[in-house]
Amino acid sequence: MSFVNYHTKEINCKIVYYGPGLGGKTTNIQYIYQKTSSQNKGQMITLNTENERTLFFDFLPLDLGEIRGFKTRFHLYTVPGQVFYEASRKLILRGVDGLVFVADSQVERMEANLESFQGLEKNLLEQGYDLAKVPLVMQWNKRDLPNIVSVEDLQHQLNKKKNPAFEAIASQGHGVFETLKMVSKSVLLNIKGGLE
Amino acid sequence: MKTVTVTEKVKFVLDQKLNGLNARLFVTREDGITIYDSVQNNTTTSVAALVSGVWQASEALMNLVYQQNEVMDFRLAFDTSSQGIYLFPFNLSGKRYFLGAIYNDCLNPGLLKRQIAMIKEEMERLFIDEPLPKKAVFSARQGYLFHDISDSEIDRLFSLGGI
Repeated sequence: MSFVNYHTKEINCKIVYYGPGLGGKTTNIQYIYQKTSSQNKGQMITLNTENERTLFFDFLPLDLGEIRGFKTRFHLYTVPGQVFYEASRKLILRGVDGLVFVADSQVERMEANLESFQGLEKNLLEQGYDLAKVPLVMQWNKRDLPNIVSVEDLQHQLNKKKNPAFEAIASQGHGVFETLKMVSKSVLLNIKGGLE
Repeated sequence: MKTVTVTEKVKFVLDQKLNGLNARLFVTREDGITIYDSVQNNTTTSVAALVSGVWQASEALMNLVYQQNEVMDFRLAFDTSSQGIYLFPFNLSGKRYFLGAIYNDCLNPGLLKRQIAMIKEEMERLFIDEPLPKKAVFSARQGYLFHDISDSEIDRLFSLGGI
């Protein structure tokens, strides 16, 4: 749920990067962190396991400038992708304003992509959200690897609602900001005019 | 008459309490957004996100094991005999917030915790006595905040962040 403070003219939005394990969610956030100037970002938080897999979430606050007089702050979260962290994923979806689904383009990860996407729909429903009403951007990551599924197949299997989608190589930064800008725009357009 | 927001009111109350406390004091919304933090730096936003995460995880754990749904009487402590974190949930104008303190090198953490509990009670009383005129303000702000945003506006927003 976005937080609009009309008195201080501030907008806070929560964007969650969702997807299967090792798909590149954390890599997206890390690239954004590296490329953002220091006065516009807060401290990045990563709650990892010993082997650097996300345990609970990654968090990156981005303090951007103003849009139409409103100071805009995006809170970027990732969920842990591994199957057995389902309970954590549900918690992180609470209060979500926008979603990025980071799919792994490799053929052998299609089943994991599908399972994760179905989990997203189910978890959102449990939190009282309808996926059709939450801004969602799809990212087809790892396009530089061999043995990848075609974009048409990814669209057909994972993006039946024709949400905006971007090809990406997150480790090199390709597609990272295009994805973030699109979800940010969708989130801002979806903000209801309520009071804090 | 100027409307006083939750944020302004919380700040007014807590700013007066800081002198007697040797701790970082903060209030966050349950979705991890900062309402008040006595320390303003690049950790402010992250403190709120982590507080929310810690609380939600603890609450989920209680629900999982004991099907415990009522947690407003709970508090959360992560501490040694001289340093730690202490969190209280509380309601203001029908919404849940967390009041917390992070302290270090504290001679009497028990006293500090009691002081935090009293601040929480004081704030709840204040907000009960003077409820915000939420409905009147809200009804004037139905619909969407922005009807259209161009790609160039988004590009400009991100370029301010050096992106």
